[in-house]
Amino acid sequence: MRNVAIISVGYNGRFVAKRPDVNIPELIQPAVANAIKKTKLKYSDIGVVVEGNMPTFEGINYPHLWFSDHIGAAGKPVLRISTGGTTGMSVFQGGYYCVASGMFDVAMVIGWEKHDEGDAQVGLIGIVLPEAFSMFQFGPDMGGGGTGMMGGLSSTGGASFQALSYLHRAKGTPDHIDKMAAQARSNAAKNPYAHLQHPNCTAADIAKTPMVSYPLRYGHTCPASCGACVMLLVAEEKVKKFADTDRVAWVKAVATASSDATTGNLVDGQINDPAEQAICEKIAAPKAYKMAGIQNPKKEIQMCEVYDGFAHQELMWPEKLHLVDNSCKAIDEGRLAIDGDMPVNPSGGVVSTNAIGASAMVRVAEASLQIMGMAEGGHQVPRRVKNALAHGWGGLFQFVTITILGDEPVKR
Amino acid sequence: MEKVKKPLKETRQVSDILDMSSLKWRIEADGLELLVQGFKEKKILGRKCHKCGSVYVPGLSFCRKCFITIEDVVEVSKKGKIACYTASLADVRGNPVENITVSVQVNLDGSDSWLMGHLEIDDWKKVYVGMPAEVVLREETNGTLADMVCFRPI
Amino acid sequence: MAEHKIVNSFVGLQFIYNYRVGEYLDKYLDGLQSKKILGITCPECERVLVPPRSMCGKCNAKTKKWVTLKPVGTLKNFTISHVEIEQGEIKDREKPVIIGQIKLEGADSLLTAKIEGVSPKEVKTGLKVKAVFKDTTEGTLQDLDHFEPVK
Ligand SMILES: [Zn+2]
Ligand SMILES: [Zn+2]
Repeated sequence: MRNVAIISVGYNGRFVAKRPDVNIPELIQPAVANAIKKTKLKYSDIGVVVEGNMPTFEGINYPHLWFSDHIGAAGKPVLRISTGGTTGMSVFQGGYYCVASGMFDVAMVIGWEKHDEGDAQVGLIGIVLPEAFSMFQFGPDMGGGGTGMMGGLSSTGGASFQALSYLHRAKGTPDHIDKMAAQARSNAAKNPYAHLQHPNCTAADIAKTPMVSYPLRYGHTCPASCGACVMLLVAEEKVKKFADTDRVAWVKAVATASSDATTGNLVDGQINDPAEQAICEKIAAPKAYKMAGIQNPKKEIQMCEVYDGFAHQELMWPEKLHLVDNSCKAIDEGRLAIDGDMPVNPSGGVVSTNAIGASAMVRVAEASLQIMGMAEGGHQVPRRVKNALAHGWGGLFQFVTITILGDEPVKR
Repeated sequence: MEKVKKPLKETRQVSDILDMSSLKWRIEADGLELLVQGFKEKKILGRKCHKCGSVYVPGLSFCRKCFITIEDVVEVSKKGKIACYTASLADVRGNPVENITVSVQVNLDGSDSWLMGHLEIDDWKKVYVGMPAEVVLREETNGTLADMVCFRPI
Repeated sequence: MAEHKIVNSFVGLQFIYNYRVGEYLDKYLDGLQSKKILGITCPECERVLVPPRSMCGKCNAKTKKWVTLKPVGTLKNFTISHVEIEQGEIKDREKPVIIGQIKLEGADSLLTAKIEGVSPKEVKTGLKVKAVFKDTTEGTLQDLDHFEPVK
């Protein structure tokens, strides 16, 4: 297996709520151009293009038929991957497999979403359908009582069960989620590409927003954004030839694990607890650390980008990833801030910017920019980032993806 | 990054409708069937894995942990503990709702899964994780999902 | 092995989407509204693409110069459609419709449109055709109603 480096990241521009001026191909194309511009690559050097988004959000099953001319894919293999919230990282890992395997020297990966073409809530119902069918077979009972599946299990509903269960386990309070959301929105203000930017946002600002589904407030939830993220992955032997920088981000490990659609815990313990997330804690994370040769993640990893569609997840995931013992304590002590000892989502995270098909890829992109020292606008972590972790979450609760990047390749 | 904000050009829109009602899905409903059949006799029925002992309600036809077919039907208690809850206070756009509803997931005694439903309670702030609650079935049950009215604190 | 209970599920939902056409197609539709067919040129291979798009996939170059094409061309390919779909159901058309691919004079791509004024039995490739617009145009693709043989 070959080592693979990320040599460049391209965004189409700032992520925003509406792009009435462009169609889907025109939204994606500038991200491709921006990624290529920062390298010595030509379009003809790209061997394979891997792409993905959320099908029901724009209602197009094969969008790549529409935009292959716009992504430099003419005459090349195009692979499409779609795995819910984890799509972006699954796409990235698909590109990684293509290069690591020796099949291709250069892969371009694209994650995107144009939320203004459909209705994200409607799109979410489309995603909930397979979950609902699965629940119909396996439980929990969605018909019991008056709540039905939409009330309890549309994304905010399902996430609020998770948030509550998490707070119970971590002995935290809803104030901790306010604090986390405030940090995310303030960090976003330092990231020129982030959607919801709120400079110096405080927990009190967040606490003023209406409670949607206890313990989750409006201010704890992500926006629906339009945007695209592109990365170029290159085999070790070709990095010197194609990279336009000395500091590239090396892929040290990839791991992914899947589970049952209900609330996703098969490993052990409680069957339906959405906050248990054993597939992350007990399967994917240990697998990733082993592949990366990391013994003590708390010491060896300098920052992480986690998939936080809801602010409580920004607290929960670092625990499940063995990076923090108790995030509620850690946020109280300021340890999760950009200048803390375990910065979580300096970019502002998914809770500030969510173009879903791009979101899990943006986690890898942001982690790689931190390693390259190229995070713009004041969200660069001050101490040298040698290893960074990116995490994706998807499905209802049952998909998890992890990527560990480093400033040096692993000797294999 | 200072940028002059100019409004984006509005280009034409083309509408499309995906009509889900033209699609049909076949799903297996063993567990639900068992549950509603149990309602007829005012019982909560699930299935138990003969290998690992996990009890599922609704009782699916295979063990999610062992990946084996399971057939042993067991009755579980109508009483259990609230494992998790949420109260709906606003709609997805952030507008407050008039009737606040509490959804709960209850771990019934004798089962390993959580059963979801609506909790009948006067004040949502009284709910806590670990609160004892029980299934309320309607007076005359006929073997449908509507037989299960709600959960009620004990 | 126990008999499984199987049910058919049905979801009575309609998802509505609104797609933006983007700047290039928007300008093309403006053209149709004023009964003109607009194309765009790739600065590298100099091909003229119609309908216009922002990129030339062959050269991976941004397309640039707009051109107004003559509304005449040659039928390069066609099919005769005997059925239509109405709300998911396939039904016979009242009479067959010819759908053609036309190479406009000066264009390097094919434009798909209805062909009228020639019977399905007589239609053949190589036929010289011209564009016929609706009397009242609205800035939609339907403004270019059909092509018919040049007399
Ligand atoms: Zn078992
Ligand atoms: Zn060209």
